[in-house]
Amino acid sequence: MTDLESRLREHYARARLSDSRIEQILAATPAKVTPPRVWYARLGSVAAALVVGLAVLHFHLIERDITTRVLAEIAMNHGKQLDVEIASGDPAIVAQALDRLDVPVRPPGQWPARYALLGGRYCSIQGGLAAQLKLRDRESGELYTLYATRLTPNLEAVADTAIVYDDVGITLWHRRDVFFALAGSRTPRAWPPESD
Amino acid sequence: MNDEDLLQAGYRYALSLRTRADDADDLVQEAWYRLHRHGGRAGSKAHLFTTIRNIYVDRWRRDQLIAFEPLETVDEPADSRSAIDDVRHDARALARLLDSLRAAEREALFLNVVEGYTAQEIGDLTGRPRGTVLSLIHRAKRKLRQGLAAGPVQPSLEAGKRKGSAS
Repeated sequence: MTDLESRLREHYARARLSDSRIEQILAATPAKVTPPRVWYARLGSVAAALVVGLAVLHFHLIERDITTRVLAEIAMNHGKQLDVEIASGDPAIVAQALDRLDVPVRPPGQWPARYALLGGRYCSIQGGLAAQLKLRDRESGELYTLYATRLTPNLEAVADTAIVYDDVGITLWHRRDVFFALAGSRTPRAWPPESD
Repeated sequence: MNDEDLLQAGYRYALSLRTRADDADDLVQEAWYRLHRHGGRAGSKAHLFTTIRNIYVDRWRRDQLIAFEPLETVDEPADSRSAIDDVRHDARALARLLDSLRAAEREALFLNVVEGYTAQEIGDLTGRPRGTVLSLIHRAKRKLRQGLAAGPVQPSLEAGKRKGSAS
């Protein structure tokens, strides 16, 4: 091994995700989706009634888990406060720049006056491409992040909710085929209804 | 390989594509979740690397958020030997030199030297001919050796534009 190669290995060996970051990622890891045929094989000998019962139970467990995972991921993304990739105060410019998303990057309607838009970037929610808009409350100066991603069957199971998770106030809701989340101060805040 | 080792390996690979720690963190997080969402195959390092690479291509290369750079842009390190002479052989100097490489060179070098992939295996992962991979590795090593021998290096066109566009 040459000196250069050993130095390269040392360089990359020093690059590590922190233990807390690993824990965050693993905590928000989506449940594995087992191929249906595997379920059929496993449940083939079970009575139909039991299958239905298990399916109902399974649905409720998944629903509860997906909500927790989404909340954990939103709180994590908000806490990272990454720099915006598109720095603009114009929602239309940010939306145009984030054109890899096939859904609107913000709720419809007029932009609420209480928030100043700082810009946007791509992020992910449960493995799907999402937009993250960074906002500043004009009165309090607090930073908020607004998320939008396509409503998948998994995300459909997430009920509209407003909750504090990991010291971040988070509001989750969906409208038509878009899943939205607003994260900010410790008090969950709804997107202003007058903008709808 | 357990989940933590996989994530660490994915993070290092992501750093070979995007030298910004935030970007690498984001890449490995999204790839991890995407793999689990689509059948939970994150147990394989090859799958994780492939997914990280696909996301990288989707997010940065196809969006042209990083600029195209001619092949030989940074062959010769900058000739400014005053300020960082005393740290030319330390980790920061190497990090800056790595930052000055083209992403394709850095990726091929990482996979070959750190992960132990053969040129053929790198070609299979990246979709490049074996000869191109060998050339990328050779060129990357040559630039690093020249840079380490000469002293400080200025960030390349790619590194400069990437930082500007991503922040």
